[in-house]
Amino acid sequence: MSSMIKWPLIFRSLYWKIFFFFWLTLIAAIFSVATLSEIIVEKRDQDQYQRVVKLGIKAADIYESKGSAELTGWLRYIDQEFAVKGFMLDSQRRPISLANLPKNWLEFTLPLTQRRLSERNLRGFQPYRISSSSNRIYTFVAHRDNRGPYPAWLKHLPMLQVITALIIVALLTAFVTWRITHPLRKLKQATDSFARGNLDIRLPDRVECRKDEIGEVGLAFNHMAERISLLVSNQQRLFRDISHELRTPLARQQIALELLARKLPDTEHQSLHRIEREIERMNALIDQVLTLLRLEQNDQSPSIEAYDLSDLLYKLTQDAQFETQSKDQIHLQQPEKNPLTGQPELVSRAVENILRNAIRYTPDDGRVFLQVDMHKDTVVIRIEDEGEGVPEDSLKHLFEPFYRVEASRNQQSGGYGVGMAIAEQAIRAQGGRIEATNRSSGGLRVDITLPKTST
Amino acid sequence: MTTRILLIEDDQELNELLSEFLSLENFEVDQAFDGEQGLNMALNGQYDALVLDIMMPKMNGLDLLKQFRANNKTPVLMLTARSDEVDRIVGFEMGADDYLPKPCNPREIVARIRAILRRVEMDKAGMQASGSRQVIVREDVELNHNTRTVSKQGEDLDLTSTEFNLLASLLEKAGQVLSKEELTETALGRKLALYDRSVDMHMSNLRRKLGPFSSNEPRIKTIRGVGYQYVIND
Repeated sequence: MSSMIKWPLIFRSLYWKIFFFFWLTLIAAIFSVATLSEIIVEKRDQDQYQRVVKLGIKAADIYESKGSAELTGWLRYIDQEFAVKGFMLDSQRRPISLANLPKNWLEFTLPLTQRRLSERNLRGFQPYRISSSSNRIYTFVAHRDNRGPYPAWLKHLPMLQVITALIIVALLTAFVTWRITHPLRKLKQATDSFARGNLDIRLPDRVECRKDEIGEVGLAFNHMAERISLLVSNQQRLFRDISHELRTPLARQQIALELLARKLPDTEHQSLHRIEREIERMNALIDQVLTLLRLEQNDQSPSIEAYDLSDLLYKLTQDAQFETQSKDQIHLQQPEKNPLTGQPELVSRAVENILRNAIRYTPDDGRVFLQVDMHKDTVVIRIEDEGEGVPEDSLKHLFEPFYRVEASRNQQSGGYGVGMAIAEQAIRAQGGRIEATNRSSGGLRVDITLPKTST
Repeated sequence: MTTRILLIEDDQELNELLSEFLSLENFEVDQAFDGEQGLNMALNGQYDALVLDIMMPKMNGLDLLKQFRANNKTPVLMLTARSDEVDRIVGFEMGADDYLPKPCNPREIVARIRAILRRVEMDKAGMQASGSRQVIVREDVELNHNTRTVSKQGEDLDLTSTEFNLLASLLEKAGQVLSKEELTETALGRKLALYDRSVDMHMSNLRRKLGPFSSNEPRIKTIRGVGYQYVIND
């Protein structure tokens, strides 16, 4: 009895599914081809039988009304005209016409079991019991000729069988292939989407509920996705909570410091300024971390609006120019007007962060270039600096939070912090992408590609 | 004459420190530690300005501001969580006069309070002094300096003090382009800071309340890289 419970489980495995599928497909193909031939042949026999009987009745009627000579004429006529060669016997099985009468005609009057002639010698001759219009019984022994008016397609019977077999195998194979590849494709799509950062994606129950190996993979994927997204969200929450909690003591510290400044003589103010600057730096860092977390979570519905990119970039470079204090460091080249739809707030944040980095890594006498190129469906904002660039193998890590290019880079200029990571998230949030490369003439190049209308 | 400030901030220690700092700057400071207490004190006391935190237990800063503004024009400086744009926008809609992201340098808080107070003084002085420019009428909009009210097609518009100042500046020089620097100084009483979007936010509130011309053309135009302009509609 225990085997009865185990059987279905075995059938559910992919191995047996595929095995039985091929097995059944072949059986189905063979069976259907055989059945097809049988049906066709049977139909043909049926038609021929009807036809021969009809001609026999006519022959009997002619004999009864017009006599033996006329019958001979008729039998010859149907031999030529309908390719039905036959001779007539009366109810006592005596020939009533010499037409087509073979020497061994007696053979045909015997019951099948007593015939001495083989099927082959009979050459297809077969007795038909005929009853004339006046209800007298005759035997019409006739030989059907294959030249008869049979449908032309019967000639192609072997071809037909092959095609039928092909179609049946093709349909079944297509079905089973689809059953196997469809969930695999779904799995691939889900994995891709997961890799792109959509941690909420899960496979539908249809895949997960399959009891075979594919269903198991689906289940495993969903478990993995669940676990990873939980870990990530825990980590993000921790990050966010720490950031928020750090803020309050910093705010208090800032005021306490100012109070202290009132009480201390001016000579001590330089140290106080240093502390103040550090507090502000920490504040700025916390802001950035929180911004990044908010972008990563990406749960608020985006507010898509129309804006002018040229206007936005103009303002940004004005502000940045003002900050750098050195004249003509930033070179902006862009069309006069550049209407887009998207999230200007995010674009502005991304460009600002990259621009700041570019300025920071460019020597004071170097330049920063900001150039906008229009393509069919996209706009590319290219930001280039005249700094040292970044080692090739570090390029792809540039957009990771707190990534530091190895020690050779000037320590004082600091790491990339979270600015680049924020830029990447901000651009990705509106369907754009961001890429960093080194310029051949030295310095870093960052290309931001934005869709003209983001959704 | 001392200036009386009500500081509404739920963080006990921060409140103490800030009060101490403001006292050193010659303000007379009263402290409230939650929204309800803050609203009661704000409505019953005679304060020259309010410093209001947004995130508070019992009643948050925005609700407090809404109830307080129902019949009170005392200037309010709002302290918002630093990166929360939404709070800022809603805060201005509720009628805050200026905002500061928190945490911030206390000197900046003092500077902002002074700026707001200076502006209120200017408004009062302007009201008494000017005879000719008491009422400005342009098309269907009427601005009255005496009552500090604005009406459109005979209907009163509910503008905050800052929005009123912005509109007054724009209407006085209708057709001309006013720079953001200029507008920040006249309407907010302080200098334009880096990445300062206060004027833009007040302006977008003002635009929304004022609505477009009947031809659906905007009344206030943004001139890129320069500033704003009240359009003369012929």
